[in-house]
Parts: sequence; C-alpha cells; structure tokens
Amino acid sequence: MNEIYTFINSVLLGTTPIMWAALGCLFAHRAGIYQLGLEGLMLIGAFASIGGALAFGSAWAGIALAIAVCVLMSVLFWLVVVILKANAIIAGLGLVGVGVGGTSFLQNVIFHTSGAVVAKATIPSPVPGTATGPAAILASLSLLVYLMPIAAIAVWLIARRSTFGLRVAATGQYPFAANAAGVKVRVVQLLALCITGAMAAIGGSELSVGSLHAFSYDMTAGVGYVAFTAVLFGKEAPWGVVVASLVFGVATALGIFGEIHAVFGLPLEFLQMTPYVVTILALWFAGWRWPHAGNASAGAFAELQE
Amino acid sequence: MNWHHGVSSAGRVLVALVIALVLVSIAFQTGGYSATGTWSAVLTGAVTGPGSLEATLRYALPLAFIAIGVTVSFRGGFFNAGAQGQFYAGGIVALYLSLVLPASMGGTLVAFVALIAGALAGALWSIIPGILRIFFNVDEVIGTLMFSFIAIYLVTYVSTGPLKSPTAGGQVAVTRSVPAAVRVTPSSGLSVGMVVAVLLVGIVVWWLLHRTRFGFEIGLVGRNPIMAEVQGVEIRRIGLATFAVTGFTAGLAGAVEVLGPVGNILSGYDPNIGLTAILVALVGVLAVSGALVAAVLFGGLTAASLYLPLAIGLPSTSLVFMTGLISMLVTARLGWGKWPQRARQGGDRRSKALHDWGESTPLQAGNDGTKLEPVTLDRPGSVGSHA
Repeated sequence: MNEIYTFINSVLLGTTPIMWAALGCLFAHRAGIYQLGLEGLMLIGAFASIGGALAFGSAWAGIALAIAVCVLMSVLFWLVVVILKANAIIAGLGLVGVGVGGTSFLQNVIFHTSGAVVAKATIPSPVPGTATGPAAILASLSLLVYLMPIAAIAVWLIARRSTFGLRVAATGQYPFAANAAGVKVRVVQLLALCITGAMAAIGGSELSVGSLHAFSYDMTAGVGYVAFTAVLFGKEAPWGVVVASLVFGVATALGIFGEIHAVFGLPLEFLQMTPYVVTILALWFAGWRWPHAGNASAGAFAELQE
Repeated sequence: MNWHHGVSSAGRVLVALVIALVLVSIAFQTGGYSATGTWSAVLTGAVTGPGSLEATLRYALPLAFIAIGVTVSFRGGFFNAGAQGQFYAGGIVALYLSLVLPASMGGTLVAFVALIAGALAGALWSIIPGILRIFFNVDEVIGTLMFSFIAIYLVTYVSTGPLKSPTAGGQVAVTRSVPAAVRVTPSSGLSVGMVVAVLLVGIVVWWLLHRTRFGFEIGLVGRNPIMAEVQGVEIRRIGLATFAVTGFTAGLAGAVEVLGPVGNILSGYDPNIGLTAILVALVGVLAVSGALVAAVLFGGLTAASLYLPLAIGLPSTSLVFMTGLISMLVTARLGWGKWPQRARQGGDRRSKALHDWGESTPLQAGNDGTKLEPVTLDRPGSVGSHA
C-alpha cells in the first residue's frame, strides 16, 4: 500500500508545475498566440522565486518577484509577437534561450556558482513528511499543490463564464469579428499573455521553492513544453487541461516509480523518457480523436476560408 | 519566399543582431562584466587569438550542415525544431558503427558507412515526428522537441551504458573513442574533406531548392499549403521529404562531429547546437548561401563562448542568452526594409485585417515571417473559395 501512497504523492508533485503553467498557457492559446516560450518563462520563474526568497527571506515574496519578472517578459513577448509581428514559434524558442542563458548568467553574477542555488525559505507544506500510511499521499507537498483546484476553478470561471474569457476566445478564433464587435484585440492578447506569464511563474516557483528547494541550470528540462502540450491535448478547455496535466503528472510519476523500483530491469534513462513519450502519444491520440482541435494554425485558416 | 526580398530581409536581420548586441552589452555591463572587455574577449576567442579562427570554422561546420537542412523545412513551412535530437541520433549511430564494423574494412570505408548511416539515423529521427505531423496532426514543433528530449536521454544511456569507456572513472559518462583510422578530421575539427562536404551539401540543397520541381513545390507549400494543394502539389510527400532532408543533414552533422573533432560521446555534449542552428538558418534569411555565412558568424560565437569562461569568467551559456534574444527579434518587423503586402492586390480586406492582427499564429507563417504574400501566384485572393 505504501508504494501506492508514494505513487499518488509523486503524481501530485509532478502534476502541479505542469498544471499551473498549462492553465495559464490556456489563455494565450485561446487568444490565438502560440506561447512556446512557456518553458523559458517557467525557468525564469523558478530562478526569480529562489532569488526573491533569498533576498526577502520569504518564499511568497519570491513568488511575487517571479510573477513580476515573468509578466514583464510576457509584455516583451507580446511586443515582439503582436506589435512587431515576429513569428511566435521562433520568438518562443528564443524566449526559452533567453530563459536558459539569462538564468545561467544571473546565477553566475548573483550567486557566483554554476551549481545548485539552495533556497533557505520555502513554501510551507501543511502535512509533514511521513513515509507510511495514507498521510504519505500528502507528505511534503507545498501549499501550491493544495491551491491547484482553486486555480482550476478560477481559470474555468474566467475563461468560460466571464466577459473577458469570451473576448479572449473571440480574439483567438475570429480576430476580425472580435475587432468589429469592439474588442481591443491586442489588449486582450496582452492580458492573456500576462496571465500566462504569471501562472507559468507560479509553476516554475513550485519546481524551485516548492518541491526541490533549489535552482539548478536548465532545471525545467522540458516541463514547459509538456505543459504547452497539455493545452493542446486538453483541447484548450479548462477541465481538459486539468485532465491532460494529470495524465502528464502520472507519466512523470511512472518515470520516477520505475527509477526507484527498477521496473522490467530497464535502464534508468529509458524510464526517464516516459513523460516525453507519453506527450507524443497524447498528441497522437488528440490528433486521431479530435482532428481539428489543438492545431493552432487551423483557427487561422478557418478565418481565411470564410 | 524571400529570395527576391533577400536584401530587405538581410537588413531586418542586421537590425535584430544590432539590437540583441546592445541589449546583451547592457546586461553584461549591469552584471559587472565590462561590455567592451567582453566583446574584445569574444573577438579574441573567435578571430584573433591563437587557433581561434580554426575553432570558429570547426564550430561553423556542424552548424552549416544543420542549418542548410533546417532551411529546407522552414521554406516548406514545417517547423522542424528537433535538430538537436537528430544531431544526437546521427552521432550515436556513427559512433556505434565505427566501433563494431571490422577494422579490416579499412578506415575510410568504415567512416563513409558510419557517416551515411548517421545521416540516415538523423533522417529517421526527423521523419517519425514528420509522419506524426502529416498523417496524425501531431504538432511538429512539440513532436520534434520531444524526440530531442528522448535523444538526450539516449545519449546519457549510451555514454553510461553499453558503450561506456572502460578507462573512464565512475562518474565520467563518456563512451569509448572512435578508432583513429576512422576519424574524419583531426581533433582541431577541420579537414579539407569536411569543408568540401559542407559545400557539396550546400550546392545539392541549393540545386534542389532552386532548380528542381521538388524545390519549387516546397516553396509553394511553404507559402500557402491550401493553394499548393489546389494546384496539385502532394503536400504530404513534400512534407515528409522536407523532414527527411532536415534530419539527414542534422544526422550527418552529428556523425561528422563524433567521427571528427569530438571522437567520442560525452553525456550532454553540444547542448545548444540545435537552437543555434535554427537561428543560423533564420539569420541566413533561409537561403543556402546565407546559412553558410551565418554559420561562420555563430561558429565564431560558439568558439568565443568556450573561451569566455577562461578569459573573463563569464559562463559559456551567457551567449545562449544572446542567441535567444536574436531569435526573439529575427523575425520581427523592425521597420527597416520594405515588406511585401498583399492588400493592394484587389483590395482584399481580409488580408488587410490579417496584416493588422492575425499574424501571430504559426504554420501559415511563411519562410521569413511574411505570411500570405505569395498568393500572387495565379489568381490573387482566391485562396478562400477553395478550401
């Protein structure tokens, strides 16, 4: 039984950063912007929260700093992609480069190390670490894990039950109609990108001050891309994204479980590939099951074809 | 397609490079590294220092191979972002063959077989996400990136597992070395053969793009897939072919890297070559000649980035920051250069509107970030009525 408790624990641990970032990215995607820079934003968030936590002595201050920095980066991304009309994919990959290189540079400048930066202040865990019993499910999980359902409900309310959410969807699907109806398309896109940035910052913070309590070079290792995929796999719908994030969380946990228990005698590296393989399979499933969902270009062409 | 707008594209790329340079200089200065000192160190590391020019060309070589292939994909409108993984796949297969093929075959033949097999491995690593994209609607950016991550773990597996060097210490993850007879370049990474190989690949790809039906059709698909389909282009075949070409050259680059300068596989080697090569293709305005020039530029930056930690204590990853900034800006319209606009042709309001807001969506992105400009082909403005 204890294995099962530990497994559920690591599912929750794996899901949290993915879900926070994916729920945020939902807005960018619904507004018609392909925010591939999510990976970079999460990395910047992870770094900024450690930096803030060390500077101000509180993990919450760290998260606030992370949100501020990531929102600023999102504004820059908006400037480049929406105003200067850069290609969103290339600019997104560039944002990842800025994240990897920038955090590594700052890590060197501020902390004078290229190794791990350890956080002294971390996000509190309501349930202390226990190795056995049902309490092991919640052991050592940061408060951000518990806030996840609230975030999901809030995102659902904003995306599906508010005027703003409707405007975001209109902007993404029919920008010309939205414009004709008086929606300020660019402003809506800016707000959507800022929400994405803020939530990616929280997802990144969960990785650093939340669970690992340290920052190391390129520590996201593709979590941002996985979160991005969760938006595609979740059909750009809030609850779809929640389910997709859980699927990827299970995949991550399976990888960890396999490492610990040496399943099938497979080498470690093959088990570590699990989340990436599952991501591909998920997109395959999505493409087969819902051929017109999640393909960012489809919407744009639909508009053209009318 | 931008070959006839090449000059304005080059101007835009130049503006992007200058802005990135200024921003990075400010960052260095704020971070406590003198900007002038940094750039003079970059110059020493890339050009003027002893052996620097050689190092620049050595790093330009794989970048040029990959970027030439990436150019083909991007011209076709397929965002093959997985050059890193294809590069690794080529390297792993080439290393394996160089170790298992009998020495009695002769070093040259083994090297040749290993290079070709490495290139084919890269093509396979690219064509699987290509098939997923074309037949199963799996987003190719994510697909190719995920294949890159899988390849990164394969590299770790290979360097710690079956091919691990028996002489390497417990923590050092490195494979056995390629037999000396099979090496295609000395450790400096430069040989006449490899420079000729790059030029040859460049010429072949240029010829494919500009002198064959295949290249013409790639251009059509990249400009407007719907139009291309209407005109009888088999988009699926063209798509798969572009994935194969990109993977082939990236795999070849990986094989050359392992059989040439590196000589073994170290866990996590050349971690940024994929992103840099994509940027090389874009800075080279998606032309083969441009890719070759840009490869030398970024080869110099790579060489310099390895020199910076020694010279002024700046981490070598700092230049990834600059690479990222350039990527963010390189496709932006920075107000210099005349941009082809479709609005004048028949007063199409939709394209005007598209020009205003709708352009941040991917895939319909043309080869240089200009979208829909190509509809000049036959009947302007007729796209909509067909699909």
